[in-house]
Amino acid sequence: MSKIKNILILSLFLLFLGGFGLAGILIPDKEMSAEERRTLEQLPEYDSQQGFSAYMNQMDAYLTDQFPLRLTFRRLKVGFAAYLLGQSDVNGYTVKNGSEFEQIYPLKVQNHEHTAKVLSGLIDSRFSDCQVYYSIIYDKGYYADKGLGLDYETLLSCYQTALGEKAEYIDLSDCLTLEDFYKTDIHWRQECLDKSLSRLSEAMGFELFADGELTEVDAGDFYGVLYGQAAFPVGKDTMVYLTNDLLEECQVTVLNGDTAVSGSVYDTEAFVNSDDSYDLFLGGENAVVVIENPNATGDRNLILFRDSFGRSLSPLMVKSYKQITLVDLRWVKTRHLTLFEEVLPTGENTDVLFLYSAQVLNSMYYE
Amino acid sequence: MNFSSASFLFYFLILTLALYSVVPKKLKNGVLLIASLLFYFVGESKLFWLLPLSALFNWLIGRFLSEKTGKGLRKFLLILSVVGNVGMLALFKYADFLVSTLNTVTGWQIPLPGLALPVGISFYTFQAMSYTVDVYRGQAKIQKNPLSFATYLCLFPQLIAGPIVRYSDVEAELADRPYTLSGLSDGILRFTVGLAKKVLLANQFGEICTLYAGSGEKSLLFAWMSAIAYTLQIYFDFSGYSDMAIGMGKMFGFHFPENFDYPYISGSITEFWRRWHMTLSGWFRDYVYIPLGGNRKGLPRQIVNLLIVWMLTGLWHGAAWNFLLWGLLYGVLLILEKLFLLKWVKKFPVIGHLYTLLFVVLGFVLFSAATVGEAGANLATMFGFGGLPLLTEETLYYLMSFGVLFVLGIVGSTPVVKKAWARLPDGVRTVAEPILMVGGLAVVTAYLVDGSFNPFLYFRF
Repeated sequence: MSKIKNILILSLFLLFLGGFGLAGILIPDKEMSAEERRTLEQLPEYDSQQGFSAYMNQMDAYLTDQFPLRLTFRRLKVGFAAYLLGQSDVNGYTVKNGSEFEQIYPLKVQNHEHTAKVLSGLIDSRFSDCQVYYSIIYDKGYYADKGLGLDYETLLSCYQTALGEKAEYIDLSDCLTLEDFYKTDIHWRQECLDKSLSRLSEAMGFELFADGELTEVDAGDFYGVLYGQAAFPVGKDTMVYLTNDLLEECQVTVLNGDTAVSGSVYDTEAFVNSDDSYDLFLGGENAVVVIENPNATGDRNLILFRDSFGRSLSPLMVKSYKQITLVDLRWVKTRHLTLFEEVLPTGENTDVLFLYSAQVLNSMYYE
Repeated sequence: MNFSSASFLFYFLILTLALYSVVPKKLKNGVLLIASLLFYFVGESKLFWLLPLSALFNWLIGRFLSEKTGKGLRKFLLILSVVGNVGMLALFKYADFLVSTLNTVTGWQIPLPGLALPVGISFYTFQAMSYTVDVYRGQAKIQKNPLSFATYLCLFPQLIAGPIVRYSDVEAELADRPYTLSGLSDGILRFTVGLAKKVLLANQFGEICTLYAGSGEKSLLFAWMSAIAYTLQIYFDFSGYSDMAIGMGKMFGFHFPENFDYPYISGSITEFWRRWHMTLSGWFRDYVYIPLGGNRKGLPRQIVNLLIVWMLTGLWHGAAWNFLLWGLLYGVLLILEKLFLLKWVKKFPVIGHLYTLLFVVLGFVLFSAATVGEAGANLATMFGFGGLPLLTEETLYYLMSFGVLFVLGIVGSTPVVKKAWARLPDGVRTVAEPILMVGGLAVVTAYLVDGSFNPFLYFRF
């Protein structure tokens, strides 16, 4: 019995270590991890100036990045830490009601104070004669009410102090629930934005699509950014988008620097081919995107300073706006906005909305 | 190369084991030596040459220390060995510390040498000295084969972080050792336990310390949590490494001495040091304390001897004042215990245990700090002088989050698990061992794949 056990132990040890070692050599290397949304380490080249020890550190990073069944092992780690050790979060990610979220903590007050000053300066320099609004999209963890989260009172005070009477704050915090977000992604679901849209509409006075005016289209399975990064076993999402003839007739122009290309409100090719299927909405991240609505029921313009959340929201705001210009300050600095004067109208006929997710605001340092 | 790295586990160890198992007996030491030199080169390519140089130097000293050599020459060779080994250690480990201290005292501005600390130098120089001193004393035979001696000194399982294996411990096994299935199996199990201690416990406790260091909402409770987490981290890190070393020794037919014996159950500091890093305290006892006179020359001399030994023990861990103070703290406590405290704590074992743990935790706060000032600030914080609140929301969160880990760590640092395991029927253990081993390897692999490079704490000594 003892001999059999010893043979078993030796065999399993060799099989496990040798087997995965061999598989690591035989299986071709990947350049990207689609699940983790990052490039993977490649076989390092020896650099005599760095020495062999540094080379081996790079080699270990390469071996673990290219390890066979990497995602399965990562899920095993997450499961062990979360369910056996009872850790509230694993690598800063956690799960509630089958929905993954990243714990956004701590509050980076300096980032918010700085961003608030940038927005205030922008209003003073360009939009003092426009109707200006701002709103913060609370992070998913706020609705999960689990773990450590942002101190929203302090966060809001940063913006209230800097913006004062220059802009009207629209509180969307009670318009969302955890279920209104994708379970594998940080973003809200477009089909769950009714309350948020109503709140914005009430404050800004734009017209909403009526019930039945929009059709739900099932784009397909969606694996959000948290699917591979958090690696909790929560399964996949389904992405649904809302459309109608008016939206299909809208003209979308994507402006990046000197180039202007046509786009579409919903880019189904990007949904399939892009690393991030959320690029379905307006084709992905771009500095400036203009949605022109030839069938607008009104004649106002909207300039929407936004992050990725605004891409899925903006089509649902378009009914009464003849033009919505989306500006992403992550890709264009405020001082370079002069390059886009033609699509940045000013005056009383223009609404300006600063709509940012707290998660992005907390991590960004806008210029 | 790190025992818990992918390159070591999935390639180096497996290939070395495979090669070792197929070569004839007379070539096994050769395989181990080549593998060990490769292992060391990978981790210390710049100062790699120091290790073979040390092996050659100490082997030559030993070679000339034969009984036929005159007494005077023998003594000279012994002194040469000690000066050579300690000199090498002093040059690479203590030069900066000595020069900066001299500069501070005298006001001079001698430039710091800035020499890099070769990996494992504190361990292999002590091992080398155990050989030459034991040969001088007649407690070990001269190793005539330089390759056998080099194999001993360079043996990769214990080369860079112990246990400090004396030559006499493995003298016979260097010449002839059994290579058995049961030895391999036992070694694999011990190695896996050590690996799990390091990756699943030590690294996670390290995470708590990192969270505390980066916290913007520190609290009194968080400071204590961090200190206790470090105490558990260093135990599971170092004892895990020792388990791996002992396990790999068994895989190759060696029996290395034990290095830890559940130190945190100790009822006194005296007992703690009989259970913590046993090979180091044994080395200082046999090669420093006893030669200084030990307790044979009266109480005042014994006290001086103890202070010298504990000052050296502190400095062995690092060339900085906080390590010196850490050693002296234990020296003073041990002296107090010898004078009166030990009798008292033995009468009140619970108090004795708490007192021991308290000083161990506080000692590690001193030990883990970058400077004495930082240690002082950390200690002051723990006793309410840092102006921190008792607890914060963040502290409570981490306390809840790592609660199970703390329970596992505390229970795992006692013999409870070992005793419970021993009580299981043989049949259950026979079935459970392979399952737990594979499960352990899988979870460890999962942590390695998910985590980043995480070197052992004791590599820096």
